[in-house]
Amino acid sequence: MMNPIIQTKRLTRYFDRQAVVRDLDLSVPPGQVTALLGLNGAGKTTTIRIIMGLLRPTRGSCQIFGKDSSELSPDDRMRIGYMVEGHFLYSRMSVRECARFQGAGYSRWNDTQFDRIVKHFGISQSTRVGHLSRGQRAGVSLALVLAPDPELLVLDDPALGLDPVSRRALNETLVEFAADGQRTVLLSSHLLDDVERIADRVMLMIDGRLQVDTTLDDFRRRVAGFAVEVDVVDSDRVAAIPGLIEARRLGPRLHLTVADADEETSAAIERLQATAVEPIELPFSDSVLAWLSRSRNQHSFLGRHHAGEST
Amino acid sequence: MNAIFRKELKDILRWTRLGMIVIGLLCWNQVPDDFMAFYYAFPRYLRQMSVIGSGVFALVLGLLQSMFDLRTDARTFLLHRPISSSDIFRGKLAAGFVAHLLGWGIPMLLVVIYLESIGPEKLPVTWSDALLPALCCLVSFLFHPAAMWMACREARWIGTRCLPLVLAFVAVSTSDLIAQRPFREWGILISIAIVVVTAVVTVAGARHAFTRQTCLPFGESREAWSWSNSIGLTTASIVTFVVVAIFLLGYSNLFRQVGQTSERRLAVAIDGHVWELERTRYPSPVLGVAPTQPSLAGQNLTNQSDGNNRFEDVGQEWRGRPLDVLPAPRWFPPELIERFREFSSTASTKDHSLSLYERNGHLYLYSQYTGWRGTVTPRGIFTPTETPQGRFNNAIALEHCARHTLARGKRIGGQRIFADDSGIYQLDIDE
Repeated sequence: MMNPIIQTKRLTRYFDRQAVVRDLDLSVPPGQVTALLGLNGAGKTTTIRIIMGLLRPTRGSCQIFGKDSSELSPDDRMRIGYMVEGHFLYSRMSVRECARFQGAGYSRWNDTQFDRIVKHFGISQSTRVGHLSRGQRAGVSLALVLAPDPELLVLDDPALGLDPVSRRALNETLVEFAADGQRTVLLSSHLLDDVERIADRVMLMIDGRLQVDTTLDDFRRRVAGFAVEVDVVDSDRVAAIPGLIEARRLGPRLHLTVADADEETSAAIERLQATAVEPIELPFSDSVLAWLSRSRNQHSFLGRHHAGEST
Repeated sequence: MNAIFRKELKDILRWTRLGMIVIGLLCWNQVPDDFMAFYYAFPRYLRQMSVIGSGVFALVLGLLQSMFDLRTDARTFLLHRPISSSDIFRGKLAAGFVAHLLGWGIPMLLVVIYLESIGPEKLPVTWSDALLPALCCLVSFLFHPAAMWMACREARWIGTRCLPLVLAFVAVSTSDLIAQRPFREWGILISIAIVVVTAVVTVAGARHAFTRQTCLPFGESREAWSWSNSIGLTTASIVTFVVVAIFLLGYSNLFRQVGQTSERRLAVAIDGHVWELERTRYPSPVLGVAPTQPSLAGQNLTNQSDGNNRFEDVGQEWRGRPLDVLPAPRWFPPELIERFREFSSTASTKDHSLSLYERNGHLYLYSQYTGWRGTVTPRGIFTPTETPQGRFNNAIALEHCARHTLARGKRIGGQRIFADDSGIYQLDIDE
């Protein structure tokens, strides 16, 4: 197996007394698109900031290109394109000034690439950043991280604020970027459909811990869904289903999401005394949502379903 | 680093204009009118006002250049680029320095050029009078890195967060002392050393806070330690405690004189002899106020056999007390340290108070309401329309002894007595 581009070991970071990232062991393989998923506050951005060497861990280690992330040299940084969450840019600069400012120090800065991406988003280079829409700012940010032709792209919620056409263009760009197998992408996102289209690997963070770290295909294969018709829900028996990720009441049916379902799982479902059990095909986004919802135990905000109905 | 410098400078130049206006108003306020010239010490007031203005300006610039970058997204965007975070800090510092220099330098220069252009009509000011205020303003830039340090360092309470500002305050106060006291060489050296060490510690501490502390977990990492942090904050804490203690214990109690001290001045006696006057202060345990008990040291400095106006050498140790002296070494070009000296006030025969300023061996005389009255030289008093002839050579003001006059028969007892290398003089101003 090739050496991972990014590797963390027992990475932990506290803010005051709150652990935002806990004992995180993750590794990002080279030449792939890896998606870091999680709810708001799960610790994705903190993890990315530690990976980028802009925040020190409270304990544990983080290596990028085989070096401690806190010791990244300017040459190492030149190999990494990093898009900040929220597409931060200096609002008083024009787009052209942004390129000049950002390009300083890069040995492989590609003006043509920058111009092409900016043009795709229909942005004039003389426009001040403060006058750009959020989507246009995202376009400029993307152009800024791609123009130095980095080996590693780290994108923190890159599609935030993009219209559907731009989102598709972004997805295609990332797939094209990593297509040669030489370059690596790590992105965090809440847009699960986009992730499904472009990612090779998924990592799921819940409450600062890494719950899932596998390939997209493996994730799809290992998570299964069942629609169960039961008259009375026995919460204890539901909770006893091996590998249960989520149980959700939808009308007269109980929808179960299970990881690594096997014969024991089937037997446990049968013990629910269901009148009908039907396997259902779970889309990737529903599987991820099942994982994420479990941590928050959240249903409709209207409150018609009780928390006790979910395990 | 150049890109950071240009970006930072462009960002803060708009604030520089505002700072220029405020400092300009403070400096302009020091331009004396006819009434002010009467008791005016331009370099001192210019220094005080410009240092306060430039210090606050540096503080504001430092905060503006750091607070904004403490936002997670802004900081991340700034720091991830192919230059080291130390270079980013240096770029910010350099931009702040240039903006600060423009902020106080231009208004001060304009005020000094204006005063020099109108000549002694207002005050005998030249451009070199701005040197000492400029020196203090330069040092006041330390409030900029101190503010960056304050913004970036870890602290739970705003009071302890502000500790780096104490270091800048120490440096500025010391530079102000250098500017106003004619120290002996060792005193100057110690003061300059204090300013330099404080400056180095402040800049190093700010750099450490900017590049390291903002990334580290609060109070948990060994990497939070640095020599600049330890020395700087410990010194600042001690200074703060001492200052607070002075206020709590009472200024007079703390500085109550514990021993007998003496100082020496030159004085003229009624017979025209110049005496070295030794004033001895005795400790006063009752109220903490030390009474002054003059006593004649008994050393007659005139050569009595040769006449009244020949002086013996008073030695290297004796120093006059000019108001503003640039403590420069002997090799320093003298034209750069032209002295603007205030000889305090004197009185005319009609008891009108007049102020005297010395410049280039000429004594410029100003009176209340009427402004410039004339120029005094060893050859006499010249009106403003006349060209003064002759110059004093190393003039110093002498104490009156018992307020008697040298010129018998005329009531000029309150008027100043001067000595220079050629002799002794008393003003005879009839107004």
